[in-house]
Parts: sequence; C-alpha cells; structure tokens
Amino acid sequence: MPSPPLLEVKDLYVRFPTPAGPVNAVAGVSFTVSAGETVAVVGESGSGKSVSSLALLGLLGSGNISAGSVLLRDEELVGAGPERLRQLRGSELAMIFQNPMSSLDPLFTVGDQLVEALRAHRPMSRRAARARAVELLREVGLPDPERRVRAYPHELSGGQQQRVMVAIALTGEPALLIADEPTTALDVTVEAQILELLRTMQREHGTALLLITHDMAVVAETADRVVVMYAGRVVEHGPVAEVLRSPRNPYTRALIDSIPTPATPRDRPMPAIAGSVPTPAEAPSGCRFHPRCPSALERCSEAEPPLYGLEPGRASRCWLHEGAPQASPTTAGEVHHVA
Amino acid sequence: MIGYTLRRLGYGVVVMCLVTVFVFVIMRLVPGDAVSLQLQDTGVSKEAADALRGEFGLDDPVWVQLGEWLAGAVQGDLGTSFYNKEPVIDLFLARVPVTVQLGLLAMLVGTALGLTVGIIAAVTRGSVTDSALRVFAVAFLSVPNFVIALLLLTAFALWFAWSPPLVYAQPTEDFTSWAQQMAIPVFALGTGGMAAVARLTRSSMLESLGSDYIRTVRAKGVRERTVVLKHSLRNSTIAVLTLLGLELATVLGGTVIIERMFGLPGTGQLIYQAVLDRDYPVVVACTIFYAALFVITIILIDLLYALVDPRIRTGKALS
Repeated sequence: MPSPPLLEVKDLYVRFPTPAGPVNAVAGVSFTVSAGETVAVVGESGSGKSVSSLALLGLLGSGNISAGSVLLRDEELVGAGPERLRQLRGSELAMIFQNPMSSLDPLFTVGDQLVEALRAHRPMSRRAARARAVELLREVGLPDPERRVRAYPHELSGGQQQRVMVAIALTGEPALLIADEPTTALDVTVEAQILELLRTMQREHGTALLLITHDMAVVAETADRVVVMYAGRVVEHGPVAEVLRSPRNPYTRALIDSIPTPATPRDRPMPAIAGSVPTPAEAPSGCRFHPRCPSALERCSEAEPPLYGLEPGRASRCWLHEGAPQASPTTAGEVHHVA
Repeated sequence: MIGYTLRRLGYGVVVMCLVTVFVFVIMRLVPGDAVSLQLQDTGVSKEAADALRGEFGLDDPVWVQLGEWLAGAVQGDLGTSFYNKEPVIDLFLARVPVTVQLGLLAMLVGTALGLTVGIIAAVTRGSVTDSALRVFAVAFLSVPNFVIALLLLTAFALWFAWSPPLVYAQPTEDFTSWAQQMAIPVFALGTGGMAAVARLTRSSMLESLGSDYIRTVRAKGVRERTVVLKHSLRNSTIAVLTLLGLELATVLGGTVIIERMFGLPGTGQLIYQAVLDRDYPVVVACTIFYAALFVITIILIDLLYALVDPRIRTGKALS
C-alpha cells in the first residue's frame, strides 16, 4: 500500500426502522478513498449508495449505522459524537446533492449562505467572509459574482445553483467531497460543465471525490476507481478502465450494456435490466441479483456468493468466480490475495 | 413591491365598503327596531312612536338612510346613539383602547407561547414531551375560550381566594389593577391561538427539517440551534402568518364574550348591547371597526409575507 487511505469504510451496515421491524439498507459495504482520488459508487436507485454517503456524515434522518467502521485519517467516525461530526462536516467532509433547486434555503441570499458556511468553522469577520464568498463564486465560474452574491436561489438556474453548492462545499477546503448524483437533475450540457468544475476543483485543491451516480457514462469520464453496489451490497469494484473494459460481475455487465452507444439500434427498445432493485425488506435469498441475472445458476438462489478477489485491485461478488480467493472485507480497496 | 402594497390596500378599501353596506342593510332587516324596543311596555301611542322613528330617520327607505349616513360618515360624523343621544364616535373611542389592548395581548401571548411549544415539539418529535404538548394543544383547541376563562376564574377563587378587580382601570392610572384584570381574559383568549400556532409550527417545522435545504445547512457543519431557529423556523413562518390572520377573527369574536364576562368596557360590550337594543348607528360603527382591524391585519400579514420570502417580493409565485 502506497499511503494509508483518506477514508476507509469497513463492513458498514445501515439500518432503518420500518413498521415491520428494522431493515438493512446497506449491508456490509467496504471501500476506500485515497487522498486526491475519485471513487465512483454506482448502482440503480435503491442500491444503498446515497444512504451510505449520508451515513458517513451523520446526515441520515431516521436510519443509523448499526455496525461497521468509518475511518477518516484513522479517526473512527462511527460512534463519534454529533458535535465531532458537526465539526468535520463542512471542514474535512463536504457534500453536494442531487437537487440543487431545492438544496439552497430559499429565504437567504447566496452570499448569506456562503458566509454562514465560512463562519461556521473559523472566526472571520462578516466583511472578510463576504469578500471570500465573492472569490469562491468567481472560482466556481459563476458569472458576475459581485452581483450574484446578493441573489436569492430562485434567481439562479439549476446549473448556477449547483455551482453555488460547490462553492459552499469548498468553503472549508475539504479533504473529501461527496457528490450525490450532482448532475442528475441538470441538462446534459450543464452536466458536462459541472463535472468539469468538479475535476478542476479536485486538481487545484487536491480534494478526494466520492461520486455517487447511477450513470456509467459519468463514471467513465470522471472516476479513477468504481464501486458497484446492488441492493445494499458491493458487487464489484476495481479501476474504472478495467471494470468498463471487462466487467466481471453480471450486474456490472448489465449496467454497462444499458449505456446507449451510436451503434445501439434505434428501432428496438433501449437495453435495460428487467425488473427492479428489491427493497431491503424483500431481499431475495442467495445472491440478491439472481432473480434478474441472465447467468443465474441454481445455487445462486440458495447461497449468497462472497466477494472474490480477482486480479490486483479488483473484486466481484459472483459464484462464477468460485475458486478465486475471497476478498477480505477490511481491505476492499486493495484486495489481499490470500494463498 | 409598491404595486403589491397598493393592490392590497385597494382590496382592503373594497372589502370595507362591502362590509359597511352589508351591515347597514342587514341590521334593518332584523325584526324590531330601537323605538319599539324602548317603548314596548310604556303604553306610548303609535303616533308618538312614529314621531320618534321620524326623528331617527327610521321611516325613510333603507337606501336613503344609507345615503344620509354615508354623507355624514365621510365628514367624520358616525351619527348619534338612539339611546343616550351621545355621538357614536365618542362612545366608540372611549372603548376602543380596551379591546385593542385585549386583542393585541391575546394575539401576542398566543403566538409567543404557540411558537415556543411548536418548536419544542418539533425538535423532540416522537418523545414523551412531544406527545404531552400535542395533547395539551388539542385540549386548548377544543375548549372554547369562555370555558377556559370560567375555569381559571373558579380555580383562582377556590385555591388562592383571588379574583380579578371588577372595575376597569387604565394601565396609565393603575397598572397593577389593570394587569390583574387583564391576565385571565388575555390568557383565555390567547389559548386557542396558542394551540393552533403550536400545531402548525410543529408540522411545518417537521416538514422543513426534512427538506433538502436543511440537509445542506447541516452538511455545512452549522450548529443545530442555528439550523432550527434560523432556517427551519423562518421557513415555517409563512404558514404561521397565514394562520395568525385567521386567528385574529377568532380573537375579535372572543372579545365580545370575554369583555362581557369580565366587565371590561370595550367595543365588544358596546356592540353586544347595541345589537340587543337595535342601536343601529353604534352597531354599524363597531362592525366597521372590527372589519377595519381585520382588513389592516390581513394587509400587514401580506406585507410580512413579502418581507420574509424573497420569492413573493419579486412577484414569483410560491412553489
């Protein structure tokens, strides 16, 4: 291992209370993010990817982390008090969300919301914070920042609002920026601009990026490594180029096959994975993907496969790899090859 | 913003005109008039009664009476009482301060307590405190204010051998006596509003606390106190402001009963007696006063909306 990872998530379980008893929306998820790296977490809606990221920051509403470990620079965040998590949020850890149109408080100006973030973690005069706010807005590419700093969120477009969200995230110069579907609600052209902005920010500030998305095309453009999630489990992870070139897990393959390309026939329906992600309460027996899997074997409905370590840095959860060494859940990022 | 204000004021004037005409006409449709009520057991001849009606102008058609009254009203003459022949404006001005004090204090107390209870219930949702406060709120919402007033009077008399002073004193002459006399009426009138404000504050704060923008504020690492009292509360005020406008109507209606119960010489007492006596000029003046109070409050609330929410200020509709 070159350097200890910035963030190390180990065997994370997130539990939600339901009328029918608690269910695990995230069940034993492990991954790592190194300083300055971009890791994409992909999966369909309901795979537990957003829940995992919210859990890291202590921003879950009703759910809670029931087991596992989250290490940020060797500091354990699971069980850390709410006050400690508050200190880390907005300073070491920042997050931007899926819906920029509803993510800014409609009653306060963009400037006020930036000033609030700036002053939350360090003593700073209102005047200095105001000046810094304008600077940040310029940095995220908002035109005419001196005027926009006095604008209310509803006076900005969705793309501009997301730029403001990025500016807010940058106020604390975070080591890790979590972006939860940052472009899903935006136009395609704006999406490209926001992704470019995130890449620039990362290059200039050395921020690590944890990118939550359901869009394989975004993963291909942006990430160094990818973690594929399905129904609360990690089913495959590895370097982006390799995973995209030769997906090992049938689910990953199905996700990649559903990206339309110029060669996709126009007269037939778009390729899609039949069915939908099971809710945590109705997770099937055995492998959670087997009811929708084209390569399902008989045993897939009986027992869940472990995460098998494949070539260095890659792992996949599928019986097809039986015989390969199991990936240790504690070092999901750098798979140990046990003899 | 100026256009918005002028438009609201324009609506207010239209409403006031309609109320005036409506009350003027409807009062005269009620059976019995001041003359027959005054003279009913005196054996005065029909001729004498008709002469009195002529003096009051009651034998003219309603629209003639309305015209004459309006002609006087625009010059500041609201007519004279059919009873003691005093100018209505004097009777009325003597009583307005009491009702304004009572209504304003009841609204203030109700709103302040309601907001406090609502915020506490919202941040402790699902806890015993929350449940207790909600039961409390439903109880106060269900029991009419005069019943609460009676219970309070009885309780204080029984357990502390204390009852409020009977004669009203201006706060400027005897503040202690005034405060003692106002305490129970203000509280009794305020409870309904308090309960309603508490329930609405709780639900709108819960809604906003689960919203995306609150998640952003939390992600910034802002203290929870700021999250609740600055962002969530401010976003809940629009709903609460709307409720306060409606609440004022209830409070003003309540003053009529409460003033009578506690012998407070306010417009509520005045209008109550005037309706019984068919003292038309007094009824009309009092009703217009209540309507004006209501219309002005609604306009103020509309202006407060714009102050709180920039989307209304710039003319963009609420989502």
